[in-house]
Amino acid sequence: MTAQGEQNWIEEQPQAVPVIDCADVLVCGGGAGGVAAAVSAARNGADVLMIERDTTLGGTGPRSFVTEYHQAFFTGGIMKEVIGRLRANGGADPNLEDGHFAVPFDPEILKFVLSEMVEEAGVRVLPQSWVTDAIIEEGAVRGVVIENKAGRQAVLADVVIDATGDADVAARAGAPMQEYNHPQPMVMLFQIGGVDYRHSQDRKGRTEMVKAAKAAGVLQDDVYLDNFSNFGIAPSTREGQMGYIYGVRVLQRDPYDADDLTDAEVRARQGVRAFMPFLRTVPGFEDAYLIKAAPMIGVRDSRRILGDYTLSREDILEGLFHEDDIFKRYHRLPDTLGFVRHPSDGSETSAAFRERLANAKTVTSVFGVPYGCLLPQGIENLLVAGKTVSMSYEAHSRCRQIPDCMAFGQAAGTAAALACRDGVMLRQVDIGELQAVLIAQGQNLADGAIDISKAKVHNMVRD
Amino acid sequence: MSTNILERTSRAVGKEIILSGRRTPIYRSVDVLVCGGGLSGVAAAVSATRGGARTLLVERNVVLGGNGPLSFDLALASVDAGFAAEVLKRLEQSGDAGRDLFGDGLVHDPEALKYVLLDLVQGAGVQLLLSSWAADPIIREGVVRGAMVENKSGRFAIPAAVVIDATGDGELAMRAGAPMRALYEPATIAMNYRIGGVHFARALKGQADWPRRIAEAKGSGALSSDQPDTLALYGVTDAARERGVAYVRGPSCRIDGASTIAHLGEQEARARTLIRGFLPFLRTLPGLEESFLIDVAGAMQIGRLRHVVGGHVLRMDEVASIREQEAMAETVDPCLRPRGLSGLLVTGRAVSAEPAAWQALGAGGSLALGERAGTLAVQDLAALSAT
Ligand SMILES: Cc1cc2nc3c(=O)[nH]c(=O)nc-3n(C[C@H](O)[C@H](O)[C@H](O)COP(=O)(O)OP(=O)(O)OC[C@H]3O[C@@H](n4cnc5c(N)ncnc54)[C@H](O)[C@@H]3O)c2cc1C
Ligand SMILES: Cc1cc2nc3c(=O)[nH]c(=O)nc-3n(C[C@H](O)[C@H](O)[C@H](O)COP(=O)(O)OP(=O)(O)OC[C@H]3O[C@@H](n4cnc5c(N)ncnc54)[C@H](O)[C@@H]3O)c2cc1C
Repeated sequence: MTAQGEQNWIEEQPQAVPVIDCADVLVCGGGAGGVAAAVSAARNGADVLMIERDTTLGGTGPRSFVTEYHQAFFTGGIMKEVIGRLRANGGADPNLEDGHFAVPFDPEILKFVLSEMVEEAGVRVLPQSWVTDAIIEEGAVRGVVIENKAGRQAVLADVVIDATGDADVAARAGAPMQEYNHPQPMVMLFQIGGVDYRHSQDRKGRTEMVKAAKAAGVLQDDVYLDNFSNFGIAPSTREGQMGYIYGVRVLQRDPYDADDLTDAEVRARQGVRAFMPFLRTVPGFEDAYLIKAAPMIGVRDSRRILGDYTLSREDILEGLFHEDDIFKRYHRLPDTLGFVRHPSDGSETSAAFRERLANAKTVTSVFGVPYGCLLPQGIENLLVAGKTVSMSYEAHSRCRQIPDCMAFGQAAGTAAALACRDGVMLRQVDIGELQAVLIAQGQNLADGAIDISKAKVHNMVRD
Repeated sequence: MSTNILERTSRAVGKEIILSGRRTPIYRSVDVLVCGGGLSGVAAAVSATRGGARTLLVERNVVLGGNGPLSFDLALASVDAGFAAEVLKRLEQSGDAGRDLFGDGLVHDPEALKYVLLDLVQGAGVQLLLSSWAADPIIREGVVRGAMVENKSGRFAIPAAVVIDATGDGELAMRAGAPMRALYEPATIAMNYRIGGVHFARALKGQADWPRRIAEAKGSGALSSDQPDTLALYGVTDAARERGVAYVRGPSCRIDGASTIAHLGEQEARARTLIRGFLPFLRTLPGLEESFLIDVAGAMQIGRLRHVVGGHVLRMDEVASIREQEAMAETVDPCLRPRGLSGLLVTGRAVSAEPAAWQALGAGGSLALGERAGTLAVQDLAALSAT
């Protein structure tokens, strides 16, 4: 989004805005990272306010229909608790074995579970409100400016956690960001009914069907993946003969550019509608009908901050640990240099790309993610949680799943609560105590917390 | 951005802080800026564009249609003229609108409505800016000259010859200092949801017995006492019937013009919890044994909490005349202009109309008002360029 016209700015006068609330810890954004941050900050004694622009919690998971946790059973803490509650409440398969790679979940039940956890923890939630600016004083964030139906207002806090999924607060605060990369494809999943689940899971011949439809001009080449799937199907989804279709994408749009985002949302939504007649020609989907396109397009990568520490390829592949680790992570992916599962040009289903990944050596490792990834350089009182923490492009590709985002969030919330309790700056938090609290609250951080031998072998690159 | 913080602890609540002045980049200048992409905003934007104005529609969500599709408010007025009829015709042609099996009149599929509105907007050539919050109006010498927007790119100014406030709440008008009337008689707002697996013949037959079954369940403690006393299904077109899909009128709460956003949020959370607790009971009713939740609406069905006071406040006895063109100019136009402000038109839910008159308008009427606002904006534009 760029300014146009001769005089391309206007002069705004100083504006007095009311301070409507204060908190020890203010969490901006109620997605994967935000919910984990808010719950853990509150459980550790802080007065927490969470501001979300939508009416429901969970962010990209339930609202972009990313209905499957990856590597979930090797993440502890709040993520594990969420899965436990989902399994107990009909939102995820109660019979999945430990060590399983993927946990499909029901997005509606997840929303129930998350609001229950937030309420139990005593987090105050302000929905339908946008965080639009950071209030900075002498290099420290003191609060944020928000917009909602009551107008432009301010909320102050001792610690602000940016979990907006786009590092909005950090960006407005002028925090340095990682080098620009063309964004990976955005994906618009959509919910359908009338699915014959058993047949829908047989993907034989499907790529050929899509390719033929593309060749015949029925499907637009850049909008559709050659191999679509019925993604993240929890038992309740299957019983309701519903499905979430993964296959409509938009290439080369920046999620934090409003024009790009507008264009992506519109194109993808039209792509969903145009896909339906074709979908009904595919076995298992003959009676399928559209329930709804995801309420927000799925964004894989956005701005990422430049933090005190930047997680790198070496950290992950060499299985490095750091003094200030906040969680440990199991990793198993090809060792390809510059690995990205979903390249920005959309070539992920091309034969060449698949061959290269298939022929690469798969590396299994356990590595540690340090606290420094959450701390934006040069700014105090601000932590970042979610997919926007400080990681290199390649590290992000390897470590950006929902369980990772929740682990970042849990650490951010816990650190924020400790800082508030002790009246110290975020960089002075006692790391030993932070780690002890995280371990006590279930995070996989102790020595030997992850037993690789229990991993179910999977091949993420298979298709 | 530098700020001047008066106080920084919780003692600051209720006080003010001063955000310093700044140079804000201009996104783009347009003839007509429509804020809010609900039914009335879409109608306004399409009619302004068709009238030849360069029009930008700014919507905070990423889909069009506003509170109707978001809250599963599915009733449609059967109208035979104007933009409302155009919308209805398209829905009927694709089989996405029809008579409700449960007697709620003409109803539609909410997803289809979003697409119809998008098609109309794109067909007309309206410029779109989604995921963007229309914030403060730009005011020069007492005249509204555009508005600020906030989005993922930052804060931007959008100069415009005419601004149409279709936010549903008169948000820009309020910020511009237009006289507003808060409505304190509480409005009942509901959180609806959608279920699948419904066997309609048996559900219809058992319907009359539902209140008794609910009372019984409450008596036995199977349902908590704060659950609704009644149950109503709605929104079942022929297509929905075939698919076993129905909408349920969910728990409601009462709010008024003084309700805060935090309060509304609490009520929404409470409603979701009630729905969750109600679902197992639903499956004990004939025809609903195999029902399952598809989704809870994205928001509560909002009531009207305040309206702008315009040059005229539409009265109940004037509603019928709205279909006539002359009545439009004479009666409706002053309702669209907030008293004491120029450069701004207000349409949609916050339009200057008495509660009963608004009630009588219904969706067809509010589309007609939106359409009229677009036409009026084009007229204002012509008048401006003539001077
Ligand atoms: C197509 C796709 C497939 C994926 N597949 C998987 C998978 O299979 N398994 C897996 O585990 N992960 C997967 N991921 C990754 C995962 O979904 C994301 O990395 C993760 O959800 C990001 O979490 P987050 O907390 O950073 O952001 P989000 O969950 O997006 O949360 C951000 C929240 O902040 C709110 N918000 C944003 N801006 C503001 C603001 N200014 N003010 C107030 N609120 C705001 C948003 O509404 C949202 O609720 C996938 C992602 C995509 C896009
Ligand atoms: C058949 C029928 C009968 C009805 N009868 C009645 C009735 O009797 N009484 C009644 O009260 N209602 C009634 N309604 C509902 C009423 O018609 C709708 O509320 C009406 O269409 C109002 O739409 P709107 O566009 O004004 O508001 P909304 O649908 O709320 O649209 C506002 C839009 O603006 C967006 N927005 C809000 N603020 C901003 C911002 N600051 N920046 C950017 N975007 C913003 C919102 O996201 C939304 O998309 C009826 C509806 C139907 C279908």
